[in-house]
Amino acid sequence: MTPPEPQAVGELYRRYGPAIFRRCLKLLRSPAEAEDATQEVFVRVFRSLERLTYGESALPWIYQIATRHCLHRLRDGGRRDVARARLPEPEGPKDLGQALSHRQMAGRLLSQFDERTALIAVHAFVDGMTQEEVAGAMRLSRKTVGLHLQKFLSRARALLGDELAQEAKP
Amino acid sequence: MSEPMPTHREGCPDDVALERALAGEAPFAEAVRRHAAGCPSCTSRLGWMEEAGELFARRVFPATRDGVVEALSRPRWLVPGAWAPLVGAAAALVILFPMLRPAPAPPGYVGVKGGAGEVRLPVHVYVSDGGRARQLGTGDVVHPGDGLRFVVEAPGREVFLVSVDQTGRVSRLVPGNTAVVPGTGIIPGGSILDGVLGPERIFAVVVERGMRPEDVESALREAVGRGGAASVRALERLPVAAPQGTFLLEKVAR
Repeated sequence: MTPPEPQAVGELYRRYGPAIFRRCLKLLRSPAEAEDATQEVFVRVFRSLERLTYGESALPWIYQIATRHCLHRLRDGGRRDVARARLPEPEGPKDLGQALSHRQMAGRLLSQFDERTALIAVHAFVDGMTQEEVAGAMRLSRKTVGLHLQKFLSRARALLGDELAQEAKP
Repeated sequence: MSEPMPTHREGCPDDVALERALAGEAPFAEAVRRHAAGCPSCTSRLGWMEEAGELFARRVFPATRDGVVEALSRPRWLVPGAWAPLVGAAAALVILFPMLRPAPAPPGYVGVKGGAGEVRLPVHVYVSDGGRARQLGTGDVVHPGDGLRFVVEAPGREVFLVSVDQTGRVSRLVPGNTAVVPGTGIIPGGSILDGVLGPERIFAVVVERGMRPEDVESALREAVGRGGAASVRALERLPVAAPQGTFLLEKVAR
């Protein structure tokens, strides 16, 4: 396999890197971690370019790859936190969006769900997307999205407490 | 860039639409421009995105471009087809690959400088992730059933690769007890993680003259003792007079 031309890589990185970095920064909340994740996502994107259909915008696809990558980071970090059980509990989140905006809590919470449910929750509660928008972005039916959100809320109720679930709106 | 991105409101364009607008894609650019003119929330979101884009251009791109180019020039696989199929959690780390006959270091080999017991060997661990090799950092989370490959920066040297978990159980990771590290550093074979959760520490130890694998295993057992997980995490060196390196993994359930 011939290595790609450094100049071509650099040009694509300059073009799509900002969108990847923004997505990673929004989800990971840390510029340093977003910087690491951006490189990893770009490498993954570049190696999968052949999957892109000619004429199709790359941005929705890149956005999904970046979202999944950050979700894995959050969930793995959450598992590690749970396993080590040494991070302090965050104080009183008032809704799920707030809970998921807390770096450690988001990781711990998302690590308790399968990838699809976690992705749907991120879109709904972090991105503020409606169920229809989530369904469109993930190519799922609205009913499937609704079922996953119900599952997420039900489990979140147990994990984060009744007060939190009372205030959450799917 | 410490502030989070302002919240998306119902009825506003989603983040992908804003990205496509910033990229100048029709019809998003015009639609978002018209919407943002009357929407303070989206104006704030776009402002945050532009600020993050400037941060990327000013700091991230110059600092990471070479690393990205270098990463893409490496082969996707360390050794294509070398990963074993994952098997169910077993009672111990399972060696899946054929036995290899240990061979002596090539004549004229110049080893790592320094006192043997103090030399640190760089050890790298890769996990099979969706059909590709993903490099782990020490302390990273892995799961029972994960397939691992090891790279030790000691070409030409004979090494003993061994791991210990929090129960004190020691497992050999190299088929045939030891392996001569090839020029690539990639240790032949691989391992599948068992179902014992908690920290798992790996040691690569250069086999010095007269040293037996049993000696390393005994040293490892004694060093961990009854200390459990804390002892495994804290153990950075083995009391054996040989160049060595270590790597910590945290095994948690999926």
